[in-house]
Amino acid sequence: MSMIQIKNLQKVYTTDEVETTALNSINIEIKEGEFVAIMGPSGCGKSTLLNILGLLDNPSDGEYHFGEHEVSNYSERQRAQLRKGSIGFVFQSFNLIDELTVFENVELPLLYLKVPSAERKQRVEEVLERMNIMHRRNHFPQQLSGGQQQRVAIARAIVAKPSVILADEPTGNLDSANGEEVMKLLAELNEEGTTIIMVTHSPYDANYAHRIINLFDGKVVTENIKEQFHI
Amino acid sequence: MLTNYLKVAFRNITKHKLFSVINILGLTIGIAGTLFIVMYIQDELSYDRFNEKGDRIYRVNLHGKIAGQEVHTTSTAYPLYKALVEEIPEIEQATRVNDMREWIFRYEEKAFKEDKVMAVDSNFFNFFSYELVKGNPDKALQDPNSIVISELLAEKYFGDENPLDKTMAIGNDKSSYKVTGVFAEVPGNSHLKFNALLSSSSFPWMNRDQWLSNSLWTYYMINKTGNPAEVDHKMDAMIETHVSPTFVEFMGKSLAEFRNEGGIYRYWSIPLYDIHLKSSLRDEPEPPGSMSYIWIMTVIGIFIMVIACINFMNLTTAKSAGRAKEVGLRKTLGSLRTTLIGQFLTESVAYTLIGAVLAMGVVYALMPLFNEISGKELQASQLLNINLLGILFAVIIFVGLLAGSYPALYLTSFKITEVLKGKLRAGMKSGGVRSFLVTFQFWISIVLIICTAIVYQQLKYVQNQNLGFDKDHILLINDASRLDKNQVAFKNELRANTNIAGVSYSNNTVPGVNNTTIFRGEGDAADHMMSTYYADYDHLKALDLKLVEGRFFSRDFPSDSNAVVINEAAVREMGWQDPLSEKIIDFNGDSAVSRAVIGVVKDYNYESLKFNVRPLVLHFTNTGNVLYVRIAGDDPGRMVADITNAWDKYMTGDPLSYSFLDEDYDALFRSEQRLGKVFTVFTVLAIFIACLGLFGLAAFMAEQRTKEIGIRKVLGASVWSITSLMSAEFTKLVLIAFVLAIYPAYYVMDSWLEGFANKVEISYWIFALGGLSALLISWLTVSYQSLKAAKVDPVRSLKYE
Repeated sequence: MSMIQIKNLQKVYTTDEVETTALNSINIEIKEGEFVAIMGPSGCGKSTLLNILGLLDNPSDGEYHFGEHEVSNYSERQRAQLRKGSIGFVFQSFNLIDELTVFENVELPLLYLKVPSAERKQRVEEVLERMNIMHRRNHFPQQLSGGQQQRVAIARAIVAKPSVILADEPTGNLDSANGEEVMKLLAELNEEGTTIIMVTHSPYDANYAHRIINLFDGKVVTENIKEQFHI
Repeated sequence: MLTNYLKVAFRNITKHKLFSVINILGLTIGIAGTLFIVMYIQDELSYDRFNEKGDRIYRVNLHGKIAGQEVHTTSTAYPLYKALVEEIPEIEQATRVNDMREWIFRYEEKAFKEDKVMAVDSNFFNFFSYELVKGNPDKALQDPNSIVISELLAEKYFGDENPLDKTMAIGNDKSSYKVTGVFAEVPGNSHLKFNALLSSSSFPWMNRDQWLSNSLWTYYMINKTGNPAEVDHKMDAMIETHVSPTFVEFMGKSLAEFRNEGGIYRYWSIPLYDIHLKSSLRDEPEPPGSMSYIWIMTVIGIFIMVIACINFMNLTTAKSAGRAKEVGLRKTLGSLRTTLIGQFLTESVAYTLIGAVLAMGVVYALMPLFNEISGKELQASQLLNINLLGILFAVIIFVGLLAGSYPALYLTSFKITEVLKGKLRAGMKSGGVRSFLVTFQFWISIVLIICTAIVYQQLKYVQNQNLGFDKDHILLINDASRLDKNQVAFKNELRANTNIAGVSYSNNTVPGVNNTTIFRGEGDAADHMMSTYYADYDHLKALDLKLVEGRFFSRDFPSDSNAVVINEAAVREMGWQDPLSEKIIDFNGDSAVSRAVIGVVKDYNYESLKFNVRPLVLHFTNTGNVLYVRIAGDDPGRMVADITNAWDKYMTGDPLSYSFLDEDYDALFRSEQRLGKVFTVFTVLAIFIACLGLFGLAAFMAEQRTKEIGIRKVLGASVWSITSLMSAEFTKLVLIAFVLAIYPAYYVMDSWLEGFANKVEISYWIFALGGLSALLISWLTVSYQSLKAAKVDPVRSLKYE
């Protein structure tokens, strides 16, 4: 069953005089439980695509079906509503709130979902345990290593049990050992059924995906099932 | 979720310590200033409201127009109170208060001069709600020669003894008065303030049936359905019945004729609660407050709060870079903009709450200082007054929301896709709003600077203005009639002292004049209202008056005792070309007397520089109750000792009391001086808070322009050129604020100066001063941040980008 389906998607940025087409007639279908990597050179529109897929931004034109919803014309409010239960985000720069502890950062999505306090505590502890970061629960982000911070970010992304995780260069700021660990975690989550869409520059990381979508100048140039490469 | 917000808020406060300190400090000062103003205004508005039946109490005033001169006074006739109760059914009771000023009080060995002594009717304590701690309120003031004293006086004269039924010797003739009661100290917010009350029955003249002699205050209490306008109407009728018959006798014409000539003579009522703030009448018990000062204070209070709010807005947006990521993230996790706005408002209310708590402490600590400046008697306990706490609560919510509104809207407007990418600057185009806010802050500051400068200029002007005589080095004894038959001997003894330049008896204490009456020129039917008082031969010398024509009263001319000396204003009033050939008809005595004008003195300001010099007629007297002593030596301390010694020779055990004339004149401007000080304090506060804000803003701009500064430096810009580049921005805003401030400041001060007869010209340099000081202050504030930014290694600042 398809999780995400976009048809003829366009994204045009207009400044005072210049019109820039960031995405041009994109058609992508991502099935439930898939692990997809999006690759391409800088400025090819990867992040724009990810923002639209993540309901952070609206397309200029085209269709976007998220599950059963046609969301391309959703208002900010509707997008926020859909986003908070069903999409988890992992960023290159972690984006943890510096003023909140590890526990509080992970708890945040549940607060917005109005999960009762006791259940919150239980669920946060579960994911922290799983991410092997429980012992740092009362630390602030700056007190953690990059790898640990990204594990907290992943914990935060999965604590609301989203159906999709969007990862934007999740290993970009990490050394290879920590990067490897993060990729393994994502693969594990995928095996448990979570759909994962990941933007990356690294062919090595892309290897973990079932499918690689290559973008160039706002268009999909190749869309391959990994096996075709015989890697 | 609220805990989450507060947690983040608190951690932000502790994380950015400097900014938090500046932010909270601004709010604390702003709220403390506002609290003081609120307490000041509350006190002003609470005048006389402690009277349980105060809403039904009115005071009668007199409006007269006699010989073209308008008289608005609080003084009324002795028998009025009786007629009010007997002839106007809706009046339940009436009472009179007669200001007896200063008396010598004696008990056993103790003798002191006490001021604020009043003679009152026996129903005084039932009429007003002053608290009698000892004695019977119904009877205490019934019998002649009864006295009720304050707790302070009871302590002073009787110590631990029970003062009730003790006998005190009061006044120069040492009349015996029995203490029949002790009252609690009069509240600071009472328009009547007294230290001792004598029963009116002690003074038979207070019961004279004289309707044209107006010299005491009359109050009445109306019943619940009564209407004061109706009472005023009925008092008009009362004038016909009672005043009309004696009018011919005293004024030489009937009331009807007098009215036909445009004369006015009528009583009207003012509510007790309005006396303090709305009366501008002569002869008030104490200098009244003014509604316009209340408004000025309110506006200043609001200004200060607004500056503090703007401050908060600028500082919070200045630190927004640090919060942008949080906003982006919370939005990503599904938070709505409205929820985020709620979060930031909660945060600003929390800030304000901290500021408010600290402000309470500041107000508590600075209360004595504020009382000294403002002349109030505010109590620290008033801080816990439920009304004040209510206002404080409203202020917290209002300021929290106002201060938080812009940052909340601004911070939450960031686009997620941009903040999360670190593209912060693109989404931060709010320069217009910020410039407006800073300009507004400076506008307020400059208006306040200009107004303060003009208030001071005017005060200095009136105080140093030539009065027409030399008010310095004059010692004033204003109950010299105590000397009785030794008056002349005492004067002669002082005259013999080489360090005394002049000694003069008079019946009048300047500044002020207690008799303004009708005169005519001989052979002229027109009435002229002129002031008059009595003085002896040495008055010219003692006050250092200047003679313009003729001569002053002289021992060489015995007939001078029937002559008069007038001032230049009187010459103008009479329209005389050659005053020395004229005679004045004087209606003051039992019959009209014609008096020769022997001299004209240069106008001197015998009342107050608030008024122009009015026409004056000086009569001759050999002795009087007031003695002016001009000290010539350069050791006033020793001279006071000399004078005291001479006094004690005649008045052993009867203390000398005196004042200095220059201080008495200065006292006339006490309320203006207070206004000046209060203005200064709040102006300094306003500027200080504005500078805090500017400091934050400069930091913000420096942060925003890091890349630009780096590039400029790489291209060879000097530290100086970058510093001036940064300052130029603010200079522009200050200049705009300055231009916009000129007219409002001019308008406000011009209206204020209207109240003075003698006023400074508002000169252009005052405005220049206001603008320049604001500019200078802004440069000093900004330069620190500019220099800091300009000195950063360009490699670092470019990397930052």
